[in-house]
Amino acid sequence: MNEEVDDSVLVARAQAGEPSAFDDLVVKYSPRLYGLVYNMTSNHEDTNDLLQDIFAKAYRSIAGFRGKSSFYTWIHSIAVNMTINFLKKRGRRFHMSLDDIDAGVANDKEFIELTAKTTPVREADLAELQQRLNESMMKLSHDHRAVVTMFDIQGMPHSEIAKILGISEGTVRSRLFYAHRQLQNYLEEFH
Amino acid sequence: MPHDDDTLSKLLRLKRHEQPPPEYFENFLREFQNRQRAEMLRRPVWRIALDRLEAFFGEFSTSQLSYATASAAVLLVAAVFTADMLQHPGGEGASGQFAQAVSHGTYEANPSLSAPFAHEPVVPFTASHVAPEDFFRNARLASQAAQSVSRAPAIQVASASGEPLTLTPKMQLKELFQDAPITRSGATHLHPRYVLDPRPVSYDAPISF
Repeated sequence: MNEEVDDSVLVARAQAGEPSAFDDLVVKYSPRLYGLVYNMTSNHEDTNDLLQDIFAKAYRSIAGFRGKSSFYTWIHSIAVNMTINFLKKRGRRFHMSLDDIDAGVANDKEFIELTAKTTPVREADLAELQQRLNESMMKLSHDHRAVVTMFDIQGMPHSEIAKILGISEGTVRSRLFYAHRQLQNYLEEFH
Repeated sequence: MPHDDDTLSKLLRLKRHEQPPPEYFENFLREFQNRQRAEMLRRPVWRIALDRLEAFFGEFSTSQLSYATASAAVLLVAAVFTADMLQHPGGEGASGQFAQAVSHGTYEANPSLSAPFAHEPVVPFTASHVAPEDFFRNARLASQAAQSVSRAPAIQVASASGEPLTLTPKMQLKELFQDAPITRSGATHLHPRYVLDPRPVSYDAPISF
């Protein structure tokens, strides 16, 4: 709640013509939006360019933002729509340039569980599995990839995803179910 | 390895750690500001307005179909106005109607233009010896009088001889002159009108090959 109040204050200041307020919003949201765009494009250069365009568009449009939704939802909607439009134009002409998993992953609960001695997965296997997963992600449709990115990777609730995409929660759940099935099938092919 | 939903979710969650180096976000804002300044110099105003419009509609989570509907509505309104203009090429104003009437030799009724000229006296005239300025003044008054009577079949104006001259809304100009002796000798009755060429013929360059 406090985050929303902070956003609304920053938005109001930006609308009043204070560029530094928008800079604060950029600093606050760029890591999160980077994760969203990057996991949809799988390319760092494309992500960087898109992120610049997303914030540029948001800055140009901030005067027209009336607060019907939160700034969080609004900026994520812009990011998802622009990324999907970009992916449609790009088609299959891309190469994956995935960022390395940072050192923080060693402390991640999922990482510890997956590489525990009780499981058959070693770290080397896990790295390979991650690469295969990334390739499988790129086989999903843009809409399904967006839902998986927001729900599974970024941990957004169904309701928030529904608002961002302008669809019902039922549609979000349906897309997630279908995307998970597809990813499992793609991963099975590697074994 | 079993790929159940739980394992898949864990694998996906690990992707949160795929991040650029920390200095990337430190430089991002500076790069954004530089690009923003550069863009301000080259981005057209209509593009900015379009972005704002998209953001405005996007805020209400409208579907893509809404843009198509709005565009269709704008095109429909434009088509209606265009069709209306094609049907009335002279425009709705008094000058347009008068010009149209003179060019076609007819007078069209328009009651909305009558009131301002109702007090002006009609100068008696006959087509045979009227001065040009009086003729056009009377023609204008006759036109406006005709316009003042909505759907009037005909109106009468005074002539010099006292005979009433009947004007109908669709009257041809030539009918006004049908009794007038407009011949070469008739020029004695009409004030001569000379049109001087703005450039003498002698100034024309001779044709040479």
